Amino acid sequence: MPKELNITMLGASGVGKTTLLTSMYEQFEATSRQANLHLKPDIETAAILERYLAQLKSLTYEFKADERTKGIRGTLAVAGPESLPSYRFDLGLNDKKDDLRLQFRDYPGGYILPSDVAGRRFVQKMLRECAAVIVAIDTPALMELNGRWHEVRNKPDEIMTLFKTAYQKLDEPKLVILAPVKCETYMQDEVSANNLIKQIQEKYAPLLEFFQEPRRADKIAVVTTPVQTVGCVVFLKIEVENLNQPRFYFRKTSFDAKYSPQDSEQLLRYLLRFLLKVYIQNRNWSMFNVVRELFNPDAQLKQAVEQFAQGCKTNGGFAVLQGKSLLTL
Amino acid sequence: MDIYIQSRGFEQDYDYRWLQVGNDGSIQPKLPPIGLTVPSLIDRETPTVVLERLMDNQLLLLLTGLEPKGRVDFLDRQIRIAMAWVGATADEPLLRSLAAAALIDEDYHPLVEQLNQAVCLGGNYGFQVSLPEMQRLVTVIRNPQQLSNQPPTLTPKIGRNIAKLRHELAKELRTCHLPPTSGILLVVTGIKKPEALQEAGVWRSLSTLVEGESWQDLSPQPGFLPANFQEGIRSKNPLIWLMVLISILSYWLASLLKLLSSQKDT
Repeated sequence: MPKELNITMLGASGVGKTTLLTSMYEQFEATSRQANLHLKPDIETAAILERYLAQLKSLTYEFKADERTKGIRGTLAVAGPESLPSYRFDLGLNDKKDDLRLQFRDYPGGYILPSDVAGRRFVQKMLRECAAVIVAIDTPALMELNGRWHEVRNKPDEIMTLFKTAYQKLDEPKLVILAPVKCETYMQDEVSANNLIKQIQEKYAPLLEFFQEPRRADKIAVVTTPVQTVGCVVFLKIEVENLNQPRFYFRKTSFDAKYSPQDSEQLLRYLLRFLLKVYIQNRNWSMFNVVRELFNPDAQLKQAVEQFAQGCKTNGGFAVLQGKSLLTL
Repeated sequence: MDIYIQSRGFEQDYDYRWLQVGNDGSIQPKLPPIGLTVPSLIDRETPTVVLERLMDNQLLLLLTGLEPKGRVDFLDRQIRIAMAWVGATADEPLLRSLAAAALIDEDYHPLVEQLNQAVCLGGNYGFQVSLPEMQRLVTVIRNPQQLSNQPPTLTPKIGRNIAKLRHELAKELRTCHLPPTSGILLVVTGIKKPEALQEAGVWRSLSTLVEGESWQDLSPQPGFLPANFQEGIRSKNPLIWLMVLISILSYWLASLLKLLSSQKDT
């Protein structure tokens, strides 16, 4: 049985957790192959994510938010939080058996709210147990109208409270990926991309300060990886409709523009770079360290980490905000 | 009979949750007693029917993936509804009838239309349930045709989720009572590995991942055999043998003591 490493999505309802996971899935094979690795989904994971992918590709020319009734539906749990499925991928070197199993956890965004006691407890458990956390951020809500809808949509205070409870005492290193999604409009050039990072640092300042406290600073790596989850759309307008609800409208860049997510492989590169590094360091060789050095069985994995590191973008909205040493061998 | 509804409201903060509908029409957040194995045996994205006999002999009917037309959330995403009925043994005919009705209606059209009336957006949880409408729903979708109560064929069967097999299964539900065993008795769903359904010992299962257009017989799982089939197994239970041995020894000791006391008297 390969060793399991868990990764959880984090974010409010509708910010784009499942869409982000799907766009990342599309890049799994190509990205892992570049580092002489294979990343193979189990049959049900592949079937479900392929279905989501088809739904994402069925977008019309102009639409509200990034989903229509045809698009990805919200995540639900059939019988409570423990019944939620995992998306499983086996990771290994191309010529060897699988070393690692990556399990991605997704859940209804309503779980982060205090009104859902069982759901919130589940999210805290996920944060404690998972090596990496991908925080999906609704970028138009963060950027438009000076972030007027950021609190409502992204719920940074709830995110902060969850981290404060779960990361009080850390034994293992963690990777926190702040992933602005639906960010096509704000990635047009270096200046606007830098502005995106600035807004993240400003709007998530209390959270970043918490991560930087001396007792946990050396155990948390924080990166920003903006992902253009659809690739072919731009933000159009916000309209406030019934119940004081904002509606975000997007449009395709051209009528026949196809689904073409950008930079979702960057998120995966950072993720694999961190997970492989943790995996290599945590292997329990104890008294066999001499033998380990002699045969150097981790050479290929180390090489993979280095390859991922070389391909990681560090500008244009991408940045390591904290814990660089946790990402390098 | 207990009724549970899962859905969500329009607004962002009213995400999916289960509500129990009380006999007086009150609602409260509560999970139905769905076994932990059930979620691993169903495709959450497609209309699904599950019948499960619970440990306390109650019967659960779960219908998921119901999609009332035009009901969307704040992102224009289709809102789904799931329903669970939990009843006693006496409710079995009604639950069989409801399950059969759900199986023969492609995409549950009549059921979904009724449900659209019974579950409305609004209220403290983003959606609310009208008990009279729920009761009307049961009378509308329940097939008036008389059910018969013949003993079921116990051999577990699996097949592809196609209209022909769903109709055959609905007919079987109307004709035969359910096997008396506890556990998951019926699963009709979308993408699900046949091995998982077989391992769980489901009595009747349909999945889109099964090949062919006819039913396939499966060998029963050990726990599946009904009470009268378990006589032979019980006789091999070491606890029963221990109890028999203790009884013989007690009888033998009592006889010996009686004999000794009678000899002392003489």
